[in-house]
Amino acid sequence: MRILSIDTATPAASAAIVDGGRILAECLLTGQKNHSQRLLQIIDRLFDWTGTARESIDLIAVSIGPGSFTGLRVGISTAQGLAFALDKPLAGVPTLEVVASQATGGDGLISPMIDARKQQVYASLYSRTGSDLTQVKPATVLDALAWVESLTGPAVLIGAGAMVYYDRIAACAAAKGCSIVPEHLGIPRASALAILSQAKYAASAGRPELVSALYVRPPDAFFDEAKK
Amino acid sequence: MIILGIETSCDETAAAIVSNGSEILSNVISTQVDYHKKYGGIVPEIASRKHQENIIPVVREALDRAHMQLQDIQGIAVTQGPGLIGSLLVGVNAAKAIAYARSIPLVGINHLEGHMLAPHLECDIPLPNITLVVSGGHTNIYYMEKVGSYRLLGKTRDDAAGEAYDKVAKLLGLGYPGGVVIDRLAQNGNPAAFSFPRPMMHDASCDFSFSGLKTAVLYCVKNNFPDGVPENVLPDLAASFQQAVVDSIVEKTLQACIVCKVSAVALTGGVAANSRLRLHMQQRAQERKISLYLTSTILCTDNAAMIAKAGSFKLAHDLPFPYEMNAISRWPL
Repeated sequence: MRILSIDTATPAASAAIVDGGRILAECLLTGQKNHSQRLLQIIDRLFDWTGTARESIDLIAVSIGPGSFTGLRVGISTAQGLAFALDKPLAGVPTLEVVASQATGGDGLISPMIDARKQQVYASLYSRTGSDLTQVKPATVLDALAWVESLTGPAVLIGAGAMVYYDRIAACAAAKGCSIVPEHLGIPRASALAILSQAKYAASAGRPELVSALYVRPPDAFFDEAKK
Repeated sequence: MIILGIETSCDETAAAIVSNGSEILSNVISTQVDYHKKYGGIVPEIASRKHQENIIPVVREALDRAHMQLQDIQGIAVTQGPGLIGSLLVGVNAAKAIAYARSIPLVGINHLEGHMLAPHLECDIPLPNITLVVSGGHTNIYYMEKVGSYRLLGKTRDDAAGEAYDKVAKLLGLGYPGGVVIDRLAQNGNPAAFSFPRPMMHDASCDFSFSGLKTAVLYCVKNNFPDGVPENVLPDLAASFQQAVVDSIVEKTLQACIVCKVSAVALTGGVAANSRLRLHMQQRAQERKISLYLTSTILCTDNAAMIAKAGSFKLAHDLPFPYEMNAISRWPL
């Protein structure tokens, strides 16, 4: 199965082409403000470099959040447009699960944490047994320290959310026996997303409009007068 | 050339298919007005989320209604701005991905130019002309020399006309969107019952101002009806307010025709669907021997047929693919 995967849920943007579980090419840009300008360029390079015909893709997989609302719109709109125009199934993959799948180490609890700003993180808890990831707590958004305090046992903390608020959470994490994965390993990777989607999300992939974002945080409802 | 137009700049998810820049094969508009009603205005984040859900179904529907496949589309035109950034991003990125996947040309369109060309979908309008774009976000008078060459003669210095309708509707407790509610209520009201100012009517510029008018309505209500406006007075208030807006718009627009020695005027944008504005513009343009071109209601509102129309002048097969195209929230024309 040949997969084109896309993640733009955080300030990092990545895309990959993975064939039969083997990464053919992956591109990652970090600290980008403008995924909208870069994403399709990256995808075009990947097709070009790997000599892959656009029509030969079997599945498109996209990161559905939680994360930056703007980033999610860029990634999901692009993925939906590609899947629609190429007539390929689209799979939506939770970003926190992608990050959790990147944790090193053996079996146990993994807590992916994505920076949600305002001192908060998008977080959830997974249990790993072999290569299986099972969600223990659903995705939520809350104060970074409150999240770590809510953990009942040692877990591997991974993702930018754990690093951005490191100073606030480090003592509590240590007291609970949690380890914190180095920042570079916690950047969501399209290659990890593709591999996860093949194992778990390919079967339920379908029409592109069936994929929706996992925002977790509700919209701020206020009257906006900015449109002039 | 068969063009797919995509428009997501505000709270309408729209897609249309236009052939040879003139024939509308389909024109699908999915409005979100019901989702924003309870907030009394558009909530940008809700708008963006709705666009995300609707974009592919709306494009599918446009193809279905035109009895076409995506393979039949030869180019795509998408609203690139101005508008709500999150809303624009959905349309721009979907359009880029579809055009890229199909290897067809893509062009970004200024929403205002789309509105300006909407009347041209229905008939040949003499050039040069004066075009009034009047909506919830804009009240602009343009001198249109030819397609692609527009001179902004005047605009609102504060609220857009549609914004004034929304704000007055809100303060009268009439709900959202204001234009439709006030227009309907005003049908049974006396437009001379209350005397409201016509700001900048006798000013030499082509500029408008509507925020003072809104304040005048507010004080009129406070002073005359401290316990709330009686139900039977509402139509008179609505009609009097509406007449003040209409007088300003009609006078300034026709004034622009005279100053520029142009004998054709076109009306476009959401507020151009207002029945009173259409009626008065018709009467007064006739008196001054100016030909008026009204746009059908469905093309006044935000739609993608006008975007495809604008695209028909710009799309060519040899255009380099605009990989870096981005949404532009503020983009004056």
